[in-house]
Amino acid sequence: MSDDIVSVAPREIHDLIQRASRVKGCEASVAEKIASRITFSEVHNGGGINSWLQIAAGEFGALNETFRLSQILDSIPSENSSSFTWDPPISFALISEPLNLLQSHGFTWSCEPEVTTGESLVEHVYLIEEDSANSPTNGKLTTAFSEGVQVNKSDWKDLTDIAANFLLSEEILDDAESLLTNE
Amino acid sequence: MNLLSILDDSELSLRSPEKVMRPSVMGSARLTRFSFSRSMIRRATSNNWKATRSSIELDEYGRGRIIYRVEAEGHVFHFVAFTTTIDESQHTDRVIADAWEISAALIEGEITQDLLDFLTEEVPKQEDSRLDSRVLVLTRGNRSVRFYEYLVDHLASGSQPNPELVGDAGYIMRSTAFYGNGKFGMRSFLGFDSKHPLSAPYRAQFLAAWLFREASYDSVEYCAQIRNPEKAVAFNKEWCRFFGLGNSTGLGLVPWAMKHPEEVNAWIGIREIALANVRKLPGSAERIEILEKWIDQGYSHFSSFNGEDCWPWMGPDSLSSAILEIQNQFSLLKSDEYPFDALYLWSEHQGDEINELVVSLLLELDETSDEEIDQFLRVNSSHLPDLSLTIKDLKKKFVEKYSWLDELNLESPNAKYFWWVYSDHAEEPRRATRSILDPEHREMPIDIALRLNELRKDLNKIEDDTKISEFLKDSPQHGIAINRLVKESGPYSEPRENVCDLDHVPLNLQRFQLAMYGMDNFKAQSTDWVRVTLFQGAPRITELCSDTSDDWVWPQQPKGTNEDLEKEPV
Repeated sequence: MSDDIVSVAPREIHDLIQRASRVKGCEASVAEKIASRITFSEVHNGGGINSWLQIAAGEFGALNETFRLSQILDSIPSENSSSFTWDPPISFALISEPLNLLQSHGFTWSCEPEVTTGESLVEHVYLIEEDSANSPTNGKLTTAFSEGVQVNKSDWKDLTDIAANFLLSEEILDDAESLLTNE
Repeated sequence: MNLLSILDDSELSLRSPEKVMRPSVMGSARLTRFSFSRSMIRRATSNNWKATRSSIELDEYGRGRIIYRVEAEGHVFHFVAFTTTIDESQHTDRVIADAWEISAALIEGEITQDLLDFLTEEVPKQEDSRLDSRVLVLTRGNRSVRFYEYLVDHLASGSQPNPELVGDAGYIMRSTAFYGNGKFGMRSFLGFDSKHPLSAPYRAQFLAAWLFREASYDSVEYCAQIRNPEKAVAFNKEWCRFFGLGNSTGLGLVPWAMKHPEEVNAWIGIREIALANVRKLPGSAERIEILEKWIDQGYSHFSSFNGEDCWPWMGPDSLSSAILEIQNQFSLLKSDEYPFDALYLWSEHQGDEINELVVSLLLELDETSDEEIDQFLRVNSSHLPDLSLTIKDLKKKFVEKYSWLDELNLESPNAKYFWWVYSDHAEEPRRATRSILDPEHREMPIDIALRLNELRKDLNKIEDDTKISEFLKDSPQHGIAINRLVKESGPYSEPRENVCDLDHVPLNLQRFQLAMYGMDNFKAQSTDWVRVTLFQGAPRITELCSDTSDDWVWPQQPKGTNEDLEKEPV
């Protein structure tokens, strides 16, 4: 394995993104959803963690706002064909999981510009309803569970550092407990 | 057949979730034949696993390395344990300790020098280690301060221990954590295919725990041999299975139970199906004999220990009296057409602990195959949301699944008394008091009852035909509660309590899980912390063979010989 790469388990990506999203101002349910999307993207497309870091590096609240913009894909479209536009473009890492879900409901999708990794920025998504549901392959997830996911070491460290702020100092907890005991 | 569809069968006469999921009932659970320690040993014996000690390199103080090899169904595993000594002042039961006398890993595959170097470097670091998918379990623990040296000295002098001095301990070493399932880069549980010998939940952890216990025995016997090669003896037959592995558990089990409804449902569902089946069995000489044998074994076990009740649970003295009462009742009921149901119905009026003790005994009559148990335990908790659901559907689900929330007094100020947090030291889960510490962004979202209550209130403000996805766009904070509501996790998925309430007792959820694991001798040290033992009475690695029986639990405390007792002033 290259020195720049670290092997991580899918649950580790999920846990760290969930915690780090809380640190960056997301409510627990939103953080949970973002973690699910980023993990899905990292496993299937790569680049999920880096996308998260880029969004989180923006203004406080940027993650909440980007998540809000991605929610447009959380409903089944009422039309047989529909399109969605983001201006500025949205990171593919935030929409690849909802697109996968729509695919299982019988929609095929395409992005513009074409996507290559979770870091790709998407301006338009086109959805077309097909006759039958089309479950995407889970082969990458199976491999991720048995062999781990190879991620950029520097990104992983940055994410770990942010997520560490989700934890509370042992000393503060002990002090609070002793206050209660002495009451 | 699917577990959820079996649990849905109204013909089965299952116990109601209203009863089974009550905290005091969950907190009275005992080990059963479904417990993971027993199912692991059964899998090993029925599939001819071979376990051997590959190497042991220790000095006279027990410092060094022990490696075990397990060949199982075409797979090879190694348990690599690094041992040292630390000052008594560094011993602690909590996961936050910085040093351990034994640290170990279970790996899959052959041991190479590169891998050994890697493990030597990483395993002692524990939570600070970075592992990879070759590693399945990471664990650690300490020797019993009271007994380790005593045991080594006794064996070195050629004698066996005095039961009056060490019999109540039940262990030589005490573990505090068995990390697995993707932590620190280890292989994920779902990385085992369904035919893998460790594909049942916690099987890898229990293989590691069994070998950890073996290492504790080997460490004592080997040190005794080094100290006095001429006179040292091994543990005799009375002692060689008696010691289990000690374990100390803090609050970490509570978040697990709240975050894994499908798993909780599977663990309890299997037990409840088996209980319903056993209660329907007519009496037969063979079945009555089996149950009486287990009642005798329980009595022999508990009555061989002395011990008063340890709040909130019964101790050995009360348990042995209870088993005598069970024995008496069963002798009156065994000629009934359905004696097992009759015994169960009697026990329902004897308090939760005796009731669950009877459940544990009755389950010895169940014949569910291990293949079926393993299949039901391997739940799929992934969930594809139904995008067509509406607010009306959610309201209906509240009535069907969560009417019990009304009993929790969720609007009271005490309902939000605690919040749950991970400390920055080994990520130990802790409870904090809301009035003293502001959660800010750090609260663990295991406040399920509170979240569902807030959702229920907000739903009343929304039109019935609104799609959930539309509702979530404006109210994303309800995502966790809605997910909980719409998932079909099963009737036994939800402990009926609010873990943030002032009156919440964590010990109940802790004991429930520990019993499912197969642990016993519950000794609560506070409301948040409990000590237990596991694998007491289990076969040693050299005894593992297809003849190994499943009745090794509940061993009697050794009595010792007069000669042993004379040597030791009490």
